[in-house]
Amino acid sequence: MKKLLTAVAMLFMLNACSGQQAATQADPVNIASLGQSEITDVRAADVAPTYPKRGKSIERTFVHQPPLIPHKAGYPINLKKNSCMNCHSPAKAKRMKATEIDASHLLADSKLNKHYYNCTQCHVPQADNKQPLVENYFSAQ
Amino acid sequence: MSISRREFLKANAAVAAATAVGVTLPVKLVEAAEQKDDIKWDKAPCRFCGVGCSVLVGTKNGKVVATQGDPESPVNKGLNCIKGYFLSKIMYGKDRLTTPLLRMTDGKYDKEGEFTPVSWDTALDTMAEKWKHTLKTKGPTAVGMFGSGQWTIWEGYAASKLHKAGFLTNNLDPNARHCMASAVGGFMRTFGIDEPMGCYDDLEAADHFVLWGANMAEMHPILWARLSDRRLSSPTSRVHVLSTFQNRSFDLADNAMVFRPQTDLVILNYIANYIIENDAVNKEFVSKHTRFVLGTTDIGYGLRPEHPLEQKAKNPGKGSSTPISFDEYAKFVSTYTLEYTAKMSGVEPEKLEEMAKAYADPNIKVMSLWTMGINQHTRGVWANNMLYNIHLLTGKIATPGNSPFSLTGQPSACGTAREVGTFSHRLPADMVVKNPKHRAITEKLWQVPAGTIPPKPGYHAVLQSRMLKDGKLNCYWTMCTNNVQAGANINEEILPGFRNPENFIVVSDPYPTVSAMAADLILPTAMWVEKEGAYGNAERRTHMWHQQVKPPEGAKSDLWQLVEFSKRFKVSEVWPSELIAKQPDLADKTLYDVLFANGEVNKFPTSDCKAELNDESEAFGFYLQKGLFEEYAQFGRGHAHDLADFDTYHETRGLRWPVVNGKETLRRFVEGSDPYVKAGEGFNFYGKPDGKAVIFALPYEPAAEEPNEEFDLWLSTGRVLEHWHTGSMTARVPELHRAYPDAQIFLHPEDAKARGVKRGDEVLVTSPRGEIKTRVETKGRNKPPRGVAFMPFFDARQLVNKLLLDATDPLSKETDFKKCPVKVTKV
Repeated sequence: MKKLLTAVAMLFMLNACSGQQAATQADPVNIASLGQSEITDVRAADVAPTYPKRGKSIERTFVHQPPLIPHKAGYPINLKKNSCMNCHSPAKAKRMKATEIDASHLLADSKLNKHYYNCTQCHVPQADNKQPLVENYFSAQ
Repeated sequence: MSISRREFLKANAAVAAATAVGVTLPVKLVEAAEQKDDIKWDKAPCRFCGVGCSVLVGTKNGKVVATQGDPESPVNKGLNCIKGYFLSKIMYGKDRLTTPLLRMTDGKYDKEGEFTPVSWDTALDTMAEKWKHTLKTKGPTAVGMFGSGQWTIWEGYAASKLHKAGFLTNNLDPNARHCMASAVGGFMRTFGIDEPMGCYDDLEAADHFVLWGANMAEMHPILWARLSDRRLSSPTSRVHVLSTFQNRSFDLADNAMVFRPQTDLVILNYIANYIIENDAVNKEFVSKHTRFVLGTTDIGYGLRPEHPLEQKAKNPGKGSSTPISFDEYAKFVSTYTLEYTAKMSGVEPEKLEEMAKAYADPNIKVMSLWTMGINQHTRGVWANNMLYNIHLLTGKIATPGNSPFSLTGQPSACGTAREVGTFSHRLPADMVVKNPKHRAITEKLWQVPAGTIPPKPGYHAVLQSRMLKDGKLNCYWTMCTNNVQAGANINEEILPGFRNPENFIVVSDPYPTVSAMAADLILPTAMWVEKEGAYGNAERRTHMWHQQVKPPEGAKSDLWQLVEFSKRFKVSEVWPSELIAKQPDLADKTLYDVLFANGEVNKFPTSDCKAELNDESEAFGFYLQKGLFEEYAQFGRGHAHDLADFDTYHETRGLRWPVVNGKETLRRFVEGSDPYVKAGEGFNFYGKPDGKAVIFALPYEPAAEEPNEEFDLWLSTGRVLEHWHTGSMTARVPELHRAYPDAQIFLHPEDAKARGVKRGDEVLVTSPRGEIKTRVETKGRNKPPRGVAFMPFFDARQLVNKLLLDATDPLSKETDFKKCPVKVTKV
């Protein structure tokens, strides 16, 4: 009997604090995955991304953000060469009107620290025909 | 390292300021932020991959305002990859979920109803009602959970307790089943103990590197940066890369090899054969520290038992083996000649030989690295075993630079899924449910009666989907994962189970994922630094972070959800009377009392927490994370899985277990480094009772399906650098989305031409299980050979994994995502 009473009391308490009243009055919401379509749909492919041939440096949005690449970025980085250096090395950047590699990436002899050799693992281009899928509320302020 | 938290933060802020980069760029915001200098910096592991980089998180006014590489971290040494740098934005997508959403019609739950906001109490009460009904009518095998290698350690531990000792079910499996199960199987079979013997320090010590199907340049970028540094700075360093298609890692390859899918098994045996034929076996090591066995073959493909391939297999699912001699092993691999291997694999013989020579040469230190190419493989456990064979034959193991290294996919696949044992067959510290001694140890530490933990393994990930579809698993909760996008054979095996009218499906996630949209109840979830956490990375490094910001109002962490849910069950409602009879005083208690307020988990006061925020401790009235961790750590201490005390991890950048007498272990099984190896032993593979590692004789067996006349291309799916798994976080970061907006199918230009399409054209990709539309890429970062295609699975608009067959490794139950015959036609 005691058990039963406790159970009844607990049920009552759960109901009392559950806020079910408010919940049942709420209207359905319209949410969607990034797919924006039924899972079983076969959605038409979006337009292929395009990347600009050249562009002005893109303003960074927070402290220590690695700069984005304002142009297409398919240039080879391999055992023989790092093509990014053709324009962005300290020796060439000014002449090429390109952003110079930051001093933090260089060794004492001004050569590229090989830890930073794969530029595109941190620096990426931006498609100029694409918009964010959903808005992002991030702010550096 | 015993500095106070205040000193620690001060030091970080100083370092952060000293490493500011990019002052030549337009940085108005940046400068503003720096001038004010009121950003508070604290450490956290990156939210994404298994590398386990440390990042510094900048917060201000209750929000994350910046993230940067942590210069103090021995893993990433101040560097991050592009995803890690943009961690600052992952929590701020506009569509963050802030209220539980239940499918309802006219104010009542309805499987076909619309998502309607409900209170947390209604959500959890509705769940509890469903769970109780199912437990009562169908028993514990009808409830289950799909968890995550991205769960924090205590989330996995709480889930494990709740299921194995609360609901009395082993139907708990992590998504790590899809990524690391074969690696676990390999470790257990060869060494009897899970996780790599070596560590990341081997990247600076090795001469040659061999990538077995791993595209580290994209998937483990920070380790790739370290490897690249070694290759480009050391004149004798060389890189061998094997894959079924050319990828970014080939850019730094000295020896690049594209092999036909599944023939990695042939190549592995060829190397063993080469080592033996060229008298390069380290005889002393092999005789002292290894033994040989012949593995059972023709083991099937982990499909439903009625599938013709299972019917055809002689020994479906069998992992047994019989002892053999070295000579018998030598004879077994002797048919894997260079000529045969070159013919089978399509790799030029001189390239194969160059690689084999590196393994055989006693003066070359070799580090082998692999992940999904080897693990997501219908013979993944075998392939892991065969990789260890090579290192064991030559004795190139557990010493600096000699390192067979199984890379991990997820940030805590090791720490949470594997070490905590959230798999359907496992318990903490490598123990398993079917071993009565292991159950007894666990029951004792958990203070529950003997016989609480069921001895039969539960449903693993793929079986969960099948059982949901078949109506045998009816209450299902998924957390921190998105299987309706990530799993294979979505149309036929996953979605039908989610939408089965008999089932109630709950998805916990910060965002409306594809899985959430298929659920009946969605629970809005706090993420990353919105809660206190601990992860364990690929090199056995356990690392922790404090809660640094509040989650959005309404969102709750997975840990809170699990523990709060446990309050809704009385022991008498879920345990059979025979079990209660063993400890009658528990009858009226709740699962919360038994599992969490048990005198151990609740023994640390909230004041022990050094952070300003800890929502879970505040909610439950004790330092929940510390209590769970310290109870859990008892499993491993003294048993070669030793963890340091809780507070140490908050003060350091993590430590590699076993941590004995405050000292971490760089390399296991070797004298001088591993405290569990005695002086004079040299090596001791103590995971096995005889201290010997096992060399397996295993053959090549074909893939489950091969291309045919209609479905004439091999399709492999996987990740890209810019996105994490299903993109639920990264695709909401504008910069990452615009860097890599849409999935594409990578094809050889001739294959495209033969189908009348060119780069950029829209195509229909079809398998017997479904179709998707995408665009063709012939010049991008991946360059498949003829007959092979690659497609990433991050894009929620192109659910490519629906095409794949849910064939698994029959031993590890891990799906093969890499070898699906498809057809590509012009739209």
